[in-house]
Amino acid sequence: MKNNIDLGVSLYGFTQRYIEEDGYNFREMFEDLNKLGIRKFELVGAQMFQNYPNPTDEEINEVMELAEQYDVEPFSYGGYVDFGKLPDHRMNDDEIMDQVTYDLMTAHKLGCKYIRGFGIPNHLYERVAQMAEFYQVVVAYEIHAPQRPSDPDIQELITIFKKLQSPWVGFVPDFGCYIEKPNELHIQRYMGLGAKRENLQYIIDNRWNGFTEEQMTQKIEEMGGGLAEQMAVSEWFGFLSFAPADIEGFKTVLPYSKYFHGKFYHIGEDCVETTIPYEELLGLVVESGFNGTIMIEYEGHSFYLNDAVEQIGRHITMEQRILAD
Amino acid sequence: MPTKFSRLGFEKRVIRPDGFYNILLNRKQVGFNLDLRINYYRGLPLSCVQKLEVEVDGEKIPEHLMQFQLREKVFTISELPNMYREYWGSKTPAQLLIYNYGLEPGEHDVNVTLEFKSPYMDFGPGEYGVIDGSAEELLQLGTAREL
Repeated sequence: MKNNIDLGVSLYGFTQRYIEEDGYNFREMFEDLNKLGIRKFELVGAQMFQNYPNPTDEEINEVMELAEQYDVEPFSYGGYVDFGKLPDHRMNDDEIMDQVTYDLMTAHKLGCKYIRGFGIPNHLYERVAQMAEFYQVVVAYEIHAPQRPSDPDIQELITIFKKLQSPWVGFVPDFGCYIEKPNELHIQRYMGLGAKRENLQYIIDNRWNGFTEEQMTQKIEEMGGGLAEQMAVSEWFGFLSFAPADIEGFKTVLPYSKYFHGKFYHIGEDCVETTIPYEELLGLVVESGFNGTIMIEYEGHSFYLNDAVEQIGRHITMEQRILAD
Repeated sequence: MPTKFSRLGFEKRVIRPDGFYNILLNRKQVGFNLDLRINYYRGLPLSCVQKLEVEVDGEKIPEHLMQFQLREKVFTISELPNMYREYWGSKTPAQLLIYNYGLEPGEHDVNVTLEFKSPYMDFGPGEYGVIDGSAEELLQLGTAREL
């Protein structure tokens, strides 16, 4: 494939060591980026700044100084809108815009070109585009599981982007939206917590047979399932949702995609991804004429195997192979 | 729908021996300190704390004996739901100061119930995802420190 696409790594992929080890911080993460031969990174503010959404100058300076020392580049900033944090009401539009602006301020200080937007309602994107232009940072709406690009709210956002014609807003599609089947390691994790395999198989087989999350939870309880099965239902109907990949929907968001989240959970020694159709998705990204970055986002820390560098290394090998073909 | 119920596997981070010791004021034992961290992948606004209870050796500590300290600021437990501008970072320990005249030297069963709402996962008006950050440890009481 002839293309002009490079790879970055989200520091989110290092979650396990970052949370578990007092001594694993930006320096150590940047050393790991060096080992992986990666320069560009994403930083999730709510995770790695201890004073989010307004990190101190000291926190920002630490990142900047170490990034220079290790020759790595803050490429994107993982933002949030914690719209439920107020004691008495869900944030209104102005309050949400304040949160977006805080993230823009931080991204600007870090020199990030992009923000991964999360929790910003569609109707605010006109205001977001204006503020993003002020700060010269693109705000990209993350299309994340269990959403699918064909969903009406995503299609509505395409209409808004078409109308706005602003280079300062767009999408960051997360490849986790295209998980076609649960990873065996997830099944084993629930079994480790006490779930029965036959109950888990029932949830998998019937995920798209008309059950709501509540109905499935009830059914599994009737089948003797406990807390572990309840967690499986919650996750498989939630952020770990799986379904036949929404390829047609993916094509519709490509013209507005600013960068991509190369999400993955586990990859074997053969460096072949078995649950997300990477070859097809990357093929379409290249065909679309995209010039930019795939930000690799390892989420296998949910298995607590402490294997981020090895896993990300394998994933890089896979993406490089596909992009070189 | 996002994921409604979460419990992550970082519970060993929540309570640790190095943050468990009696506290002294003017060399007199007045209570004990318990460091707490979040069992989550990110930090949270303090207002997300929905439930914070502590039992030591099966005995519940009354809420009025506890103060919650984050960096230089101190709060009562009932104040926490209003503290949306304060952020409990993923690596930042908070200190619970518990004025119960302290604990006997030796090992204690410390059981913390800590529940958060997830501020970005909603399931309808006022209904948010729940993060269970509870933990239980058998801990050796450390050397007493002057407050």
